[in-house]
Amino acid sequence: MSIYLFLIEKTILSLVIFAITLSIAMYSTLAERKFAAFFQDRIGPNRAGPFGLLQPLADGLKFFFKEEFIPASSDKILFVLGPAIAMIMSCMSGAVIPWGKSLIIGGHPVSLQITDLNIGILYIFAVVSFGVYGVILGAWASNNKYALLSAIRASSQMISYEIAMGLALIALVMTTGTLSLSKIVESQAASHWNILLQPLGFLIFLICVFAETNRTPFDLPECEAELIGGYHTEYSSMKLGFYLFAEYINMFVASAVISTLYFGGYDVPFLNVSGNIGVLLGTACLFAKIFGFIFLFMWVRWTVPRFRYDQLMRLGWNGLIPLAILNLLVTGIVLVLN
Amino acid sequence: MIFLGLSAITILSAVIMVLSRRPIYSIISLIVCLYGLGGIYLLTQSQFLAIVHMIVYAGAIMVLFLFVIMLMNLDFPESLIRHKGIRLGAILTSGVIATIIISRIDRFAPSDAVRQSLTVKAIGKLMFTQYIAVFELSTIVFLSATIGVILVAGSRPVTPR
Repeated sequence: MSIYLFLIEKTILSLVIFAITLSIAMYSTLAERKFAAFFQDRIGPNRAGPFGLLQPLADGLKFFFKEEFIPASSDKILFVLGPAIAMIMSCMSGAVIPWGKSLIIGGHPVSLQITDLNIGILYIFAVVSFGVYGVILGAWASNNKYALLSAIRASSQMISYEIAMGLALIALVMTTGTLSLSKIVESQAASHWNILLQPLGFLIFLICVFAETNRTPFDLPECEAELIGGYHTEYSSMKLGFYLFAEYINMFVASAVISTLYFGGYDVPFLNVSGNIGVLLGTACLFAKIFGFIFLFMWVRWTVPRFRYDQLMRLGWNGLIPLAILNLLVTGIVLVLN
Repeated sequence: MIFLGLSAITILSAVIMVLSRRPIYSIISLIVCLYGLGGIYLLTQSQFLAIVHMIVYAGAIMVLFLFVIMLMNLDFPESLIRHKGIRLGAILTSGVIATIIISRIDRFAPSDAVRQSLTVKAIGKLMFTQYIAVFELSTIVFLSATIGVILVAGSRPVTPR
């Protein structure tokens, strides 16, 4: 295969994944409001278009036309850099997720994964750990005490929960024996899904993902009751939009990662269809799993109240990390005995 | 070509880090510098090293640096390099390190055999067989540092609720 064909193929694939990520994040905002309305016995947005389907477009347009306001006492460069970093980092994880098997187009296989890094898990881990810079820099640059408090909360929360997340992932890597995401999916298709092998690890990972994406019950960095808007208090217009949007992209990517790591990725259970149809079916199945997890995120948000900050830290350090180490120990012992 | 670009970014951000008047810009350029270094590691086929370098230094340690600067609200109007003693010390130490690196530069080029062995598995194996003593020693250093931090931080009684 010539290098140009390869480049064109990868460019198209990344553009498609980028577009899908953005549109799913866009409609997640509508879905969230609709679900919130459902949980609270309201109707929800229904003015723009049929069933309010044009609502996300209207919101986006509104963000663009709002006044662009930069506080006088803020650090102007960092103030712009913050939302940019948040947005870029949340879009980057999609590059290593295997969205499906290889499609056969015109006789040669086209992989549905942008790059198959042999250290895919670590790549995701790295991107997640950079994501916090967007929040910290933006908040610090706002020169606002509420935003600063929020940045400190965000960074200590993320550092604390990253440890438990990493330990849960190490146990997963021990059972599958590889760091490559595509190989992890293949190993699950060949035997059991990892949720059956690592139930405790999955639970720890799920909780940490909630904390890393700043979703309720862990959304203390943007806790309205105490911190106004948290790190985005001073933001307006599309910069605020980027912060809010990055959260939904993070949610989508996190759901994709969970489905890939623990729920077999594009593996369709009890079904064996070969050819391109089978590949597309697998991708559809992956997206079904992802939508399930996005729903879970929203379900939890509108049912569970927010933690207090000391409770959050206690859960992270006294609850999740010891559990994760125990999980690691048990996994190791079982692996040695087998 | 890519190497030249990455080196330019790395060196430029390192210079900005030293010359910048505000600590927060120093930290950001240090993060960029670490990214550049990670990219150079990637060019030498050592993906694992690159990613771990980025996670540990750019991802974790720099967050702590930022954290400290935000908490302490450190913002020197005058850059530290304007201080004569510090300037002299910095020139001396960087000169010594540069001399060491330049005098040994031919030994740093990794052979193909080394490059092949830079996978996660190979590094893990080396760490737990050939270099087990060094590895354990460094864990002891980290453990003692942790205990020391807890002792220092916990020596004052926490204010009662």
